Amino acid sequence: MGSSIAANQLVWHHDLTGQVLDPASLNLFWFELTEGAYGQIHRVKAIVEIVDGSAWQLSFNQGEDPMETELPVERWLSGRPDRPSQIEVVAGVDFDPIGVTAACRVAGSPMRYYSIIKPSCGSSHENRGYFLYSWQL
Amino acid sequence: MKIAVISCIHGNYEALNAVLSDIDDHKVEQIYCLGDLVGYGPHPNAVVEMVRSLNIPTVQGCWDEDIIEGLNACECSYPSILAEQRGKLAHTWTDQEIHPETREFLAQLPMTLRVDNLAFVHGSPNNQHEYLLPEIDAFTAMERVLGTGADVLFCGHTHVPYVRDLSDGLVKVQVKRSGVSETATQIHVAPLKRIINAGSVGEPRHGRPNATYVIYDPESAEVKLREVEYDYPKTCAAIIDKGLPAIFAWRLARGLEYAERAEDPTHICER
Amino acid sequence: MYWAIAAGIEGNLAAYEAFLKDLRQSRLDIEALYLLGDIVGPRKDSIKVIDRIQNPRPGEPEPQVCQGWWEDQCLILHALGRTGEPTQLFDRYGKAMAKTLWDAVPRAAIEWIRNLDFGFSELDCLLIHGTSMGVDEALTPETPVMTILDRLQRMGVNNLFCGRSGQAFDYNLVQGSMQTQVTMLDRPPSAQTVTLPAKRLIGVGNIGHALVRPAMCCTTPAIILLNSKP
Repeated sequence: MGSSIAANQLVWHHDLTGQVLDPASLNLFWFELTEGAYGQIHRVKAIVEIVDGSAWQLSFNQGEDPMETELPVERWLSGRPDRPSQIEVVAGVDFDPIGVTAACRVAGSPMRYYSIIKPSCGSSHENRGYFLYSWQL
Repeated sequence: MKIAVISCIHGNYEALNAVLSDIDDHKVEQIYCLGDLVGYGPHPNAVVEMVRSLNIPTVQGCWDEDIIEGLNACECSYPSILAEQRGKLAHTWTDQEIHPETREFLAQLPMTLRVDNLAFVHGSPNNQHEYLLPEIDAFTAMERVLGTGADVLFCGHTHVPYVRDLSDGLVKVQVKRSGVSETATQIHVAPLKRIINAGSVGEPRHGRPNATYVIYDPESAEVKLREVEYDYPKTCAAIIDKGLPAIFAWRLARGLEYAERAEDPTHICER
Repeated sequence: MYWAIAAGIEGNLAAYEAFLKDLRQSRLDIEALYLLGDIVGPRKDSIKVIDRIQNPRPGEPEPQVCQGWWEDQCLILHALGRTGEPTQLFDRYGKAMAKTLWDAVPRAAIEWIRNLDFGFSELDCLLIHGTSMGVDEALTPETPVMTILDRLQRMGVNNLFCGRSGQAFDYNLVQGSMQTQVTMLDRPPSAQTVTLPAKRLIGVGNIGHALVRPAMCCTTPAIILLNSKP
């Protein structure tokens, strides 16, 4: 299921592979993100790893309740998980990627990189891994 | 003789001014302050100077304590790593910003105040960091009030104002002692007690950005929970201008209920 | 199955042996033996008591031990405590007691003491020397009832066993109720009646001071036998 990106929106994605998040920090960050603390948010998809070894899919569409679903994958119990983990946001132009990056960095371990993809970059979501799992962007 | 009780100003000078004006309109004879004059907000020195110049009897809050004694709260005071990191940023900023006389004023504040049958504390009589939430077990709440010897306990720290009456308390106990064959039965009756939370002047968390405080009439025992509008965008702009985390401005503008408190509100750090 | 719970040996090896003998003679099926602190004290046999605890004889339960007030004083003397000065020790026994205790509990025992638990939480029971507020807090039947309730509620248990007071008692909160009404900014006042589930505070007595014959539902005042499914 696809949907278009408006001219005044941007798509931002950020690799979280190898990061293991503190659930309480993730809750706080997820609440803030979906409530607009980092700018207007239209859609979010993320797959995150948390400290008990489970992986979660987070999704949000403007006007709807945020959803959090545990993925049916094995718990990663030794070392840092090397399966793909990522957050992707469709946001308004007031989006604050530095604030989001800083929050993610604190909630887990340092990030490896981040990048901002303008809408003109289209849907080049390489390195998706199992992000393809019900990915809607 | 009515009193006003204010708490948790958190360096928000705009909010404090608006609340003081509102107090002026209510023919209040005495103001008390329950601490946390600094932290999170952009004007810690101005707030302390105002409270000091008005000779407002004030108890020390957890932020005031941390500023004078060094950040001593353990990670258990924070609900998450993210909240802890932001708390530390605000602490460091405030620590660098405040003047020596501000620090001296905060250092000499008492932990509790007693006036007639009223007690004033920041968090709870046990600890500045303890949250007396409105839903806390009634017997626990009663224990906190009884611990002060007062009938009315004023507290803050939760940033959401409330009044809680505790009445008709009764506990039946049976005691068997070594060497005594019979069992003794005791009936304990707890007297009527009240907890009044003054909310927060400078960082409200009741869902709106307005400052909150309370007015109390000791003669009639009437309590008014006051909510006062103020120029919060000005404070938000100052937060960002001064280099404090922008998320504080966002939170302030929303009066967010997402309180930054530890999972177990009655947990007391041993440090 | 039963638990045996005791406290306050205070370096009195003879008393501990008498306690174990009493336990044997009870012929009860003892599932666990808890020693709630004050194992050592200003007696030269303290080290022998530790040795005896570490080496139970065949058929004896292996004691589970937590720190008590005397252990806390030892750690403070060896600069391993939570406070710098043994103020409580000086206040209660005078400064000379520091030397007596230092000699009675050698360095070799300190590591064992340091690794002891602060208490045990099992089956809706907390077993601890003082309270969760501190190793020096003594609860007795004279303690205000709301304080006792608070200490029980802090640990989220309905049964609290403690040894600091040295007294042996069984304090049952059998019934409790209170009216509470909360008024908030946006909500009308909400009133409710809160009732208290039955709760129990048990003083497990003291082995080292005195060992007299039973008066309660147990073999000595220093032990309480509790059915392990309360």
